[in-house]
Amino acid sequence: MKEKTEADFFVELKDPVELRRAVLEASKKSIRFLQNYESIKKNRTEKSEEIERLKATIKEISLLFTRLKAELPKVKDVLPPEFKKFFHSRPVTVKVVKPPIASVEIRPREKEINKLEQELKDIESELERLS
Amino acid sequence: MKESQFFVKINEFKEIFDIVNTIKAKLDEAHKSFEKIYGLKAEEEKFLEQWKQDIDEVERKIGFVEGVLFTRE
Repeated sequence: MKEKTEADFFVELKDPVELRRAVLEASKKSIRFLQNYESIKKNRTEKSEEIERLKATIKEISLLFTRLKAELPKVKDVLPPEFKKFFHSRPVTVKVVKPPIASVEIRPREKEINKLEQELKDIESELERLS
Repeated sequence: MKESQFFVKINEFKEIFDIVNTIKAKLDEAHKSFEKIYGLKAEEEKFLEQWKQDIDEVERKIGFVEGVLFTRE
């Protein structure tokens, strides 16, 4: 006895070649999408590393300025103009006093920011005094 | 009236000279770092734009596939 089979239904595919092409191209784009993600990831890693390098360079520059300030004579003892008439101008040899160079420690981020702000305030006060 | 004059010892002057030159060299390094960072930023923008175009392209293709498969005349 012949078994009764269910009727198989089919759907016609219009433009099967174009359909296949579209699926393949979409698949290719998806792979390129993933490749681009890897490129972006690599680019961001390089950017982060370069920013860290820049930060280290700027920190070195800041320390060099600290040394430079220590090497140059301090001028905060210059008298205001109204007192100068009481003193004869003569060459003054200033003894350069080198402050101890601060050791570089690893500090929590907030403390470092506060320290930098304090340094800025000190520099601004000194600039005001000199002007 | 002349202002007070300030002097530094010659060996300390040399130290100052060296420090200033080192600062200048470090500033050059910093400039180069900035250039590299700006370059990488531009490259990232380019990658993101390409990424977006790829997504848009895939969306168009799937739209076509949807049209072929599910639209009946």
